[in-house]
Amino acid sequence: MANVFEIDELKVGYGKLEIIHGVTFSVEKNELFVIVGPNGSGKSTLLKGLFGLASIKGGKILFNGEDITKLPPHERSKLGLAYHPQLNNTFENLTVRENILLAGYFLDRDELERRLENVLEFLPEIRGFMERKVKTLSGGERQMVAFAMNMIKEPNTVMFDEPTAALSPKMADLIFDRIRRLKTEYGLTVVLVEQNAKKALEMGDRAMLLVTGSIKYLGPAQELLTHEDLASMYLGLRD
Amino acid sequence: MMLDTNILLDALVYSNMLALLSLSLTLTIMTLKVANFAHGDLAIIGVYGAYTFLILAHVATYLTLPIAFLFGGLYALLNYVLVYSPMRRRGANFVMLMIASMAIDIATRSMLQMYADVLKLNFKVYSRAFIFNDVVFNIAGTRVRGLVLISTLSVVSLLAILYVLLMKTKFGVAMRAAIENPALAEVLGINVEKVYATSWFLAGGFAGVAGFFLPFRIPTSPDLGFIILLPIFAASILGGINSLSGAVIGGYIVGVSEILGTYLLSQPPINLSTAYRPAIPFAILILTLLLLPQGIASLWSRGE
Amino acid sequence: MINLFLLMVDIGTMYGIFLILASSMELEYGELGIPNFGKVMFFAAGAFTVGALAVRIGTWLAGITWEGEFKTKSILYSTLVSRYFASHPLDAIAVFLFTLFLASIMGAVLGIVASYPAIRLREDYLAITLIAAGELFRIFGRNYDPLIGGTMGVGVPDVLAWLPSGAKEAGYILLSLSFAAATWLILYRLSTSPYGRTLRAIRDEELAASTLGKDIVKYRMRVLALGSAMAAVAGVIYAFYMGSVLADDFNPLKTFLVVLMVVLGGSGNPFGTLVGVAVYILLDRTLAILKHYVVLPFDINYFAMFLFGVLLLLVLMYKPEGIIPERPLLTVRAKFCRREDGTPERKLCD
Repeated sequence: MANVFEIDELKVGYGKLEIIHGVTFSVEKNELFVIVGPNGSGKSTLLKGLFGLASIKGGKILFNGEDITKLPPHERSKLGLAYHPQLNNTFENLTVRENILLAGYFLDRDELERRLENVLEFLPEIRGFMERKVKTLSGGERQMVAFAMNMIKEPNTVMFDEPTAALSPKMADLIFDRIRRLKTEYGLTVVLVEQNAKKALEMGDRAMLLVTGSIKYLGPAQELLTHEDLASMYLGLRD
Repeated sequence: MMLDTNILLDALVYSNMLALLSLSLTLTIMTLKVANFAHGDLAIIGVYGAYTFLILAHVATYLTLPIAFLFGGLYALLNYVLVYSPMRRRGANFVMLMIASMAIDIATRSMLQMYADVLKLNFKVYSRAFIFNDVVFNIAGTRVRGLVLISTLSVVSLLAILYVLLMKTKFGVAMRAAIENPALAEVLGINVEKVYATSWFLAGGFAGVAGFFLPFRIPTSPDLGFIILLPIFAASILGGINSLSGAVIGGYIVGVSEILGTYLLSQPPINLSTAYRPAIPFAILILTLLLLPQGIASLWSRGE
Repeated sequence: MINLFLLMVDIGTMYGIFLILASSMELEYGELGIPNFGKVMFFAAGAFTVGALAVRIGTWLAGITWEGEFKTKSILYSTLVSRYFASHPLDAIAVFLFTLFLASIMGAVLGIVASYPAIRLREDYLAITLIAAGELFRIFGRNYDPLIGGTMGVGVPDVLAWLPSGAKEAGYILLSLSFAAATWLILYRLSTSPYGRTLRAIRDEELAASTLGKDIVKYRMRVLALGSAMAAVAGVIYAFYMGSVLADDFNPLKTFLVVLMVVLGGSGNPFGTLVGVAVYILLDRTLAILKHYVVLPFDINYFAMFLFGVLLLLVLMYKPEGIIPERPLLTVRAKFCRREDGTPERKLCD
């Protein structure tokens, strides 16, 4: 079976600065791939590079067999790749409905209505605040709106950048649950960058440990979770 | 000392213009994030466009109103596409964009001066300090000056159109989104450049319409665009710089204060020269910056 | 025919006057990052001081009794005073030094007043505030006749009237250029000293500079006082050189031209200022001379202004660092990038 991502010696950065120093890995279809690492290790930068928001300094990205290294973000979006940014992932001054409508900007009305129904079935909590402005919502509710904005595009692969940062444990569990269901019920491929390493690794298939822009571990998620040195040294999972 | 109706009506007309100008200035500031010092010139470009058409076509004056919109809009669009957008792509900072708008102001005004020379030479008309003659409408027995009626109707209908566009159409939602968070809008596949260019065209058009009404009130010359800049800025800053509704209300407050204030100060016992008129918008500007730096819009959006 | 000698005098003197103005702008904007768009106001403060006082003090020194309105008679009396100065050089020098002293104090005080908004406002608000203040200053000069003769302007006696013709013109060049040299040297010394590095630190990273214990408010106030005093000095020399002061001469266009010179030459580098002023003066004079030979369907002065506007735009778009860029060795410059939505972002940009 073909891999969703084939990443070869990828270097990513901003301006003159290189942050990811040549990483090689792949993500399989219908896999929940977890990326963990300490603060400043380049996890978010890597995701931005994969979506075309940070500049690629070298290497190659194959997405479902197609070279997307030089494609702009909205072209990648058309190929079924979705990206859930950590911050500023919603328009604060617009209502929830307007936000979701924007995400489906190029769909015709009927198609939009159909998809919206599906999304609301998946994230029924949103029904309660469809007409409210995003700036009046809590952090967890905003994450759900951003989640919905991605789902309206019916992607085949979703990349999450710390979707549970600064959320209450209860809300974090809810988000994690939906992410898991993306894979199990909808058959999507998920790339998940998480600060909450324990939770993420527990539900992940395979994992990658990123330290200062290089891969320190690549393999089964469970194994990293129980790894003597790595887990305590970089993830603070053991005392 | 009596305020006669003419002064109140003049205040209304002037405020109508100022409201359109500060609204459109605010719209450009929301996209560029920097105040455009050539904004008053857009009004003058609009009115010279209409005036040229009048010289060539000899139609009723008010029929050239759309021409003013078109000229103002296209010139603003050119400014954005040729200067601001490329500058920003190259990473120009705040002050550089501001200086660029000042350079555009100088270039625009001298261009209009040259054009006025050419106009005078070729058509033997007044090309500076020209005025438009007004018509009087008879509505149910009341005589109403065309300027009062048409300028008010223009403001009301343009505001309504803008409101519907922004709040009720998909493109309007995209516009608001691109203004709020251009990076995210880009990710969602919205052509932010196109949206911004449209905003500039609309803003220029609104300014052009405001400019069209100028020669009915005062003799109009190329440099007038710079002279009206201060009250426009005062109105926009009073309105809270990021609020369209605030800009409109700011326009009316500044406009009415300027007309009535100048009139009252020029009467006995003060007898101040009307030349000091800019002192009123200046005072409003200073007071706003000192007392209410977020403008009047902060009064109703607070706590949201 | 163009008188070559007078042309050289004009170019030399105007170069000096604009170099003083541009140096003060470079100090405030290039080094400290405050775009002072009220420059013409401080320039006018100097010229207005001379306009209001020189002829009055002159008549007093010469023992002439004034008859008639100030507005209508100032030109006449300034000629009489000039005649008196021709035989009393010490009185002439005293008038020059006294007005110079008073004008620089005026400029410095106005600069301190202007530092109040300059410290608090965002650059575009500041610019409109200072432009408007300058315009009100001009309107006041234009409408209050006893100050500088209102719309008629005021005559200024010739403080170099005691020099023979020829030497007198050379005297004005010398006066203008020596003050310009002094001003520029102050700018250069400040720019290359630790003080200049502090200014640029404040310009590039206000917060960091303040955490290093630099009192930013005080620095800005001092620099604006100094820069404004410089501009007032330029106004004094301008007034004496022109022999009259007319309020409407001090319009915002003057400020714009000074900004053009600084940006064109390269802001952040004192040598850039030298070059920027020279390029402008030469271009301006060339166009003025061309006026006699070219027939256009419009006034060539407007064409010149158009050209200057477009020139500044082109520089901003394609060579924003100017002809002589700032030398990065003097300070490691952390650029203030802006995100696409325009908010500042701390990162290195290309």
